[in-house]
Amino acid sequence: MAIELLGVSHVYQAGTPQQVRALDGVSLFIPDGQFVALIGPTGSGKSTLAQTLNGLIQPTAGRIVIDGVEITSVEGRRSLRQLRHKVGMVFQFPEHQLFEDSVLADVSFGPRNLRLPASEVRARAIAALEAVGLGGEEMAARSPFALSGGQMRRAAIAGVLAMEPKVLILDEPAAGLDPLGREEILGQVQALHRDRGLTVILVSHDMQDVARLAQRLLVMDQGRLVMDGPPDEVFAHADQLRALGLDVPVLSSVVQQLRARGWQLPASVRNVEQAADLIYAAYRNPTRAST
Amino acid sequence: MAGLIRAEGLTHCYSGARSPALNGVDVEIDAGQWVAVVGPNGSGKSTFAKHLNALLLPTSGTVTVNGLDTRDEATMWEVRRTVGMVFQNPDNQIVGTIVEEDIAFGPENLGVPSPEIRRRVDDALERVGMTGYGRREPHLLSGGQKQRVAIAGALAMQPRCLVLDEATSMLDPLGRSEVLGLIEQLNREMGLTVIQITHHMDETLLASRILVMQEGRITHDGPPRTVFSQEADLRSAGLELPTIVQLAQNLRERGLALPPGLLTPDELIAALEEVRAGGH
Amino acid sequence: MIRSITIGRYLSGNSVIHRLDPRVKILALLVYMVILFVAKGWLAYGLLGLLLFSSFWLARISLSYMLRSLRPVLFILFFTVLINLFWTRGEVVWRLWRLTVTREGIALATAMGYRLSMLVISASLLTLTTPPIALTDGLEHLLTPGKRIGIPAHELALMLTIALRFIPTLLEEADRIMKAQMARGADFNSGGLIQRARSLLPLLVPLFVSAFRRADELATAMEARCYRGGEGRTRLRELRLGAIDAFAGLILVAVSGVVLYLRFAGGAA
Repeated sequence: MAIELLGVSHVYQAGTPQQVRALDGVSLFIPDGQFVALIGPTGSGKSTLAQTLNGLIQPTAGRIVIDGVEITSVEGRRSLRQLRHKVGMVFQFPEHQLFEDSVLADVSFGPRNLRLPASEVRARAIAALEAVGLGGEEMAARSPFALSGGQMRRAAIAGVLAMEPKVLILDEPAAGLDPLGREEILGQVQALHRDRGLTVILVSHDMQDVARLAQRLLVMDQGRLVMDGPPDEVFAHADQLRALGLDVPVLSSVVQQLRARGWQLPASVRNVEQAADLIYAAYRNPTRAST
Repeated sequence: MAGLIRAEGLTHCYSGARSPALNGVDVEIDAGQWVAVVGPNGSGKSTFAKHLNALLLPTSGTVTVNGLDTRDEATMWEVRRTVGMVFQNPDNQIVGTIVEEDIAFGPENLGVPSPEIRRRVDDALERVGMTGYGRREPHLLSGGQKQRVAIAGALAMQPRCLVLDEATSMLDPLGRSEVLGLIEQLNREMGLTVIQITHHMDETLLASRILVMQEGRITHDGPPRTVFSQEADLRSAGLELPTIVQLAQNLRERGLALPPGLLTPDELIAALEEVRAGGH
Repeated sequence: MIRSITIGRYLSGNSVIHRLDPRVKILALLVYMVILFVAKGWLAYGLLGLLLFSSFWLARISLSYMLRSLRPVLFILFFTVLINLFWTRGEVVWRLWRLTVTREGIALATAMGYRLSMLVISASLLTLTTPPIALTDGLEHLLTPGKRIGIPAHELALMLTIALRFIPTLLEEADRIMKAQMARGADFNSGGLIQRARSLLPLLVPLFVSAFRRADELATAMEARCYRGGEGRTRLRELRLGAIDAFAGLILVAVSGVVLYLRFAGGAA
C-alpha cells in the first residue's frame, strides 16, 4: 500500500486576489507500513497535503499514486469512495464528528457508507471498538455524548478504523488531552502500527511525540518539503528547524548541548530512558568514540 | 502582603454527584504570586478555579477575594472584576464582532464611561502586544492571538489576579509560547497575580509555587523544586513530571550524584558538567 | 479556504453616508421603503431613484456593487415582472399564444420591478455602509422605548451581535465536520431530495451539539466578565446625532413630502 506523490502542487482560489499556494511541487514516496510524521509551522501545507491523500482535495497539479491507483486521474477521481476506504483520516478533535444515537451506530457509519452487508458492518464496528479499548455491549449501546472526552475521541478514531484502512492519517490525535490521555492515544496508535502493519502518517506539533513514535520525519515549509529523514538526522539540524519556527524536543536539545561540550552522544534521542542510558554511558566512558 | 485570595475548608459537591469535587481545600494566595495548579483529570482543579471568581459557590467553607466573601451577592461583581479568567477554548469566550468591541465588553458591563473604555481598550491592546488589531474580526486570528485578546478583555477590567483555566491546551507551540511569554511579562511588570490551571508540566516551571490537587484536596504545596522532588508521590498520582526532572531522576537512579531540584535544561547540563569535572 | 468570508457586506469608508448615525440610517431605510410603495408616477419614481443613486455616489460605492446586490433576488424579480406582465387585465396590446400582455400589465410590471429593485438596493446601501456592530447598536437604541411594552431590546441586539460573530466560526466548523464525515465515506451530493436531507444528519447533529456547547461556554465567559443584562451598561462607542444626520433627515422629509403630494394632491392617476 505504497504512496507516491509526483510534483504535487495545490493553489487555493487560483486566479483570484486571495490565491494561496498551499503546496509547491511536493514529491515523495512512502513505502508500505512506515510510520511517518509530518511536521511544519502553521500554514506550511501539512493539512493540505494530508487531505490530498484521501481525495478530499484534488491537487491543481501533479500526480498521486496510492496502492497502484493514480487517484488524480479521471478514473481515479471516480473511485474516491474506494480511496477513502483505504486511506483513513482522523481530523483534529475528532470527537466533534460524533452524531449517532449509540456508539455502535456511529462507528458503523463508515462501513455502512462502503455498502458492506449488515453483518460485516457490525463485525467491523465491534472489532474497531475493541481495538481502541471501548469494547463491550454496554459501551456499544451508550450514547456517544454520554462518554468522557477521552472516550469520545477513541470512539471517533474507532469510526475510522472500522473502515479497515491500510493507511491511517492522524492530525494531532493527542491535542487537548491530559498526560494520561495522551499516553493512551499515542500508545494505541503505536499498537495499531505494530499489530496491523498500517502505514501511519502523523501530523503533529509535538516534537517529543514525533521523536518517540516516527520512523521518518517530513518537514514542510511554505508548501515545500524541506527535510526528509529519520528523527535523529532531522533533529540534528536544530538551527535550521528553529529558523522555520519549529523546535527540537527538549531531550534532543540537552543531548546536543552536551555533545557540544565534548560528551560522546548522538545528535538526538527518542525518549527519557534512552537519553539516560546514553548520558550515563558517556559519563562512564568519556573517551570512547560514539558510533 | 495580605492574602489576596483565601480558601478555608472549601468543599463543593455538584448536585447528583457521589463524592465532592472539592473536599476541604485550605489555601492562601498572596498578591503577585504565580501559582500553578496541577492534577489529574477529576482532581478538582477546574472546579477550584471557578470558585475564585464566584462562578461557583462553596457547598461549605469560604472563599474570600481581597477580603470579600464570594457568597455575598452585593460584592460578587467586584470579586469578578478583581479576578479575571481566561478559558480553554479561544473561540468560545469572544463575544464581539471585532477585537476592540470584545475587549470593551467587560468595562461596558461595569458601566465605565465611554471615553474611559476607549482608553482601557487601547491600553489593553498595547499590553498584549496587539495594537492595531482593534478592528480585526476574531475568526481571522490565530489561536494564540485569540487568547491574547481574551487576556486583554480581562485586563480591561483592571483585575488584580488572572486565572488561566487550561488556557494553552488548545494552542499550537507558537501560540503557547506567545501566551506564556505575555503572562510572564504581566506578572513581572504589573505584579499581576497569576493562577494557572494546567496539565502541561513543562509550563509550570515559570511558576513560583505549585499546588498539586488530587481527589478534591491539595496534596502538595511548594516551589517547583520542592514539589517535583517528590517524584514517587506524583507518579503514583498519575502525574507526569517535567521532562528534565524525569531525566535527572533517571540518572540519579543509575548512581549519578546530581543535586536535587534540577528543573531546566541549563541547570541539568551545568550539573552534569560538574559531576564530570569532579572525576569518578 | 473559508477565511475570506467577512461578517456582513460592510465596505469600510469615511464618506458622509458612512458617518451617518445608524439609527438615522435604519429609520431612513424604513421610511424610504414605505414611500417607495406609496409613490406613483414617473416623477415620483425618478425622484426616489435619484435620491438612492446620489446616496451611492456620496458613499463612493461603485455602480457594480449596487447592481450586484440584486443578484440574490434576480429570480423573484424576474418572476414578479413576469406575473404582472402576463396576468393583468386591461387593454391588450400583444398576444403570445395563450398569454396576453396588456398596457396596464406593462405599467404594473415596470413599477413593481422598479420598486423591488430599489428596495433591495436601498437595503444593501445600509449594510454596505454600516458595520454590523453599529447596526445592532442602532437597532438596540431604536427598540429601547419598546422595553415598556416588553420588547427585550438589549437582549435582541446582543443575540444578533453574537450570531454575527459566530457565523464565520460555525461555517468553518461545518466545513471541518463535512470533511471528517466525507473521510468516512459520507456523500452529501448524490441522491434525491429526501436522501440528501437525510445525509445532512451527520453534519447537522454535530453542528448543533457544538453550537450548544459554545453557547454554554460563552455564557460562562460572559458572566466572568460581569455581564448581568442590559441594566447600567455603557458602550465603547456612543451614538451621537450630528449636523449631517439632521440634514439627511430634512432631505428625506422633503422627498417624502414631494412624493406624497404627487400621489394625493397632484391628481396623477
